[in-house]
Amino acid sequence: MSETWIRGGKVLLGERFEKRDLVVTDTSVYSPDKGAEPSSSADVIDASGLYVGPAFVDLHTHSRTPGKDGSETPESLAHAAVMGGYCSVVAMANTDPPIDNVTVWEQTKKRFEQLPVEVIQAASVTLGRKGERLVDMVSLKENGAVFFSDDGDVISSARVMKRALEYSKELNVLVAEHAQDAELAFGAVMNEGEISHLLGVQGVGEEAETIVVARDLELNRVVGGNLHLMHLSAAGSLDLLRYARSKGISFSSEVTPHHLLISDDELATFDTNYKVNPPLRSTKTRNRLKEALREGLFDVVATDHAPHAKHLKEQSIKEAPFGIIGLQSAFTATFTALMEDIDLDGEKESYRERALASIFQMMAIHPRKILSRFTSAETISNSYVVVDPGPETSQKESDLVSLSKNSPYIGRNLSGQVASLIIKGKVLLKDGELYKEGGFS
Amino acid sequence: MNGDNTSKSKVMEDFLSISGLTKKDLVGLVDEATNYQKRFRKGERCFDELRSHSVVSLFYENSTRTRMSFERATKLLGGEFAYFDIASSSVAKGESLRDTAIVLEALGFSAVVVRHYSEGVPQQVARWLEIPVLNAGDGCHEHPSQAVGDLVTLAERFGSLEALKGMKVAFVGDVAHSRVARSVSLALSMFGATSIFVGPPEMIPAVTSVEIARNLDEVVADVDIAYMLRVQQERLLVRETLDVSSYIRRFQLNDLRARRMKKEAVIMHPGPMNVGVEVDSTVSKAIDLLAPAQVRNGVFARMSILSRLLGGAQGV
Repeated sequence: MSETWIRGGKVLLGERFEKRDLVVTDTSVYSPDKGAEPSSSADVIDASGLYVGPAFVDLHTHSRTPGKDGSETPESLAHAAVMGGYCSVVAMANTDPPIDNVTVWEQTKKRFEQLPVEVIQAASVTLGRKGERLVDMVSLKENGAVFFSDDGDVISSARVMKRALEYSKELNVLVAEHAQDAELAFGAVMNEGEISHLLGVQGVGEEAETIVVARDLELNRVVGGNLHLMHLSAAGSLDLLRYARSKGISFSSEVTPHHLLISDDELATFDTNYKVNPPLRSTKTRNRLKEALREGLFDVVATDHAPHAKHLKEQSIKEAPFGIIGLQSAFTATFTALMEDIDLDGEKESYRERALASIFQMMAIHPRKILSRFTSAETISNSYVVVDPGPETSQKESDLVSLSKNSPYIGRNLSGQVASLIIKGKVLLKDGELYKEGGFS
Repeated sequence: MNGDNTSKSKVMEDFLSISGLTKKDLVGLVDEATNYQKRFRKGERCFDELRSHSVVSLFYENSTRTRMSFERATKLLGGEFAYFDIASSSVAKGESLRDTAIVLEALGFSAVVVRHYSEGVPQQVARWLEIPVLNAGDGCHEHPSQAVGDLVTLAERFGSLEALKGMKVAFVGDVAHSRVARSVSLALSMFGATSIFVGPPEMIPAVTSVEIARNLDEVVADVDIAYMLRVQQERLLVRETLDVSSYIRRFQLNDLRARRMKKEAVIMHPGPMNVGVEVDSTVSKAIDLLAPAQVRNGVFARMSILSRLLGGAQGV
């Protein structure tokens, strides 16, 4: 039995932190009695001055397995997840071949079984991710698939999307949409605006997202299925979410750390590590997204971790693929974004705690809640992460453990650090470093 | 010289975009080009600023004029010029852009002239290489050497660069996809000229900072310079909604419209012209008169740029 004592940390209880010790085992978690001491076999983590909460769960990761192991392997993916404080990630289906049938889904799932973190394998919504015919959702669900997405591409046909939502209701599974009109986005490399005009680069406006968000919400008003809107990036989407919420339309929504932290003006140097889809938006929109996050309009912060091998990103801005890695930096990037424009001297401390609490809601509690509606996953209980809000560190490429290094944060100062990670009572990460090889040996 | 490139630790810099230059940089380049022009007219053919230097062109897109112009400029300055042409994208060969660029530096060239169908490639190459990188046109972004050449032509025509102050310049046609329009417009604005973009919505970027006209008639009588852009029919007809006859009716600079222009106004075109589309045959003849000077000045501009980057430095 694994047993870890987390001592002296501020532990998340509801929406607030309280100083207390925590004992985490593979089957339980509790506060030890006063005066109790850890057994000789237990690991002890000193969390004094640090914050403790449930380990993070990412609803949006690209594993690149199968077919693209030059960009990421299951092991490098798990390593990045552990460094980022994640116990569980959902792997997207835009692989080669795509995960569009039971056989491929099961084979791929097996590839992740021995990892120290849990990988929940998604299936695509349509065959070959072509947006035309639905996959056999019934058989996939019977075998355990609960997360369906054509992510990387929108489901262009409203008819197909409506049908998918109907099945999501009947089978109790989640359909996650990459909301972006394909016609408007055709050929686009970045956000459309002053920057794209200055650079002569073809852009795509925010309306490409909002029209699909509007369509999907309206479809789900009628259907009442399980709709998840991924990586929202448009100011117009926010108004639609507010409207949908006021009308009781069911949906969940996510925002990525990079859309909160960086803007489209970074593209001015033509650095392909800023090429991502949906694109980085204007600073104005970015600030709206942060306000919406504080307002509680988004359910989750998800990474859209999208590794690409170096030779692929070292192409022109036109040819380089979309995507940036994000698992390892998700907490620090989100925390930096939330703290960025706060300079209230006296209230900074309490604001900081509120920001940390809301990050735990977005990155740990809400994603669990969403998944628990569809699956009784085991790993994601009894897993805790310890974060240190203190240090501001310059991000180095050499610190990135993902096989791909396409991070937009290299050379940038980010606040906070994931200190320790305990999964089912077992320490994987301690003081920012893998503990006993983190279960990778 | 170029602000795009702060991280680079080398003595010589790059020539990447007009937006990365200051007015002072441009004045220096135009003065030097004018100087070369004068010496050339006096019969001088031997300049030796680039002696012992070898410049290589890395062109991912076809070009006759620009490459020949850079070659001629290099050779007039006493340097060698080599080609590294890539007919198709290197992605197909599994080689990254960076790999290709690094080979050129390893081969010992003093500078690389880059043209690419994608925006920003010269900037990327400049980040990867120590040797100076010159932008010979990147996608729809910029064509800065063309802008310097045009400034030489305009300074000659109007007497000085200062004369451009307060002038109105119409860029007519596919401004959104024109690297020439972007560079020339940026360059002219540094000297106090105002741009007007003239064309249908398919061709005009949705910028708020520049005046936009939807019919050439609205502005033709007021402008000092009409910069006519080539209509790339193949580009527009595939995906957009443009009707060519309606385009001609609204935006072609024809004899009738040209007669309404100010007496001293200049009509320019980066060439090659699409006679019968953006201009009619009468106007094309007027442009033809200026074209040889534009081409010659392009060479002097490139001599000026190359000698700024490499002159005085030890070649390899």
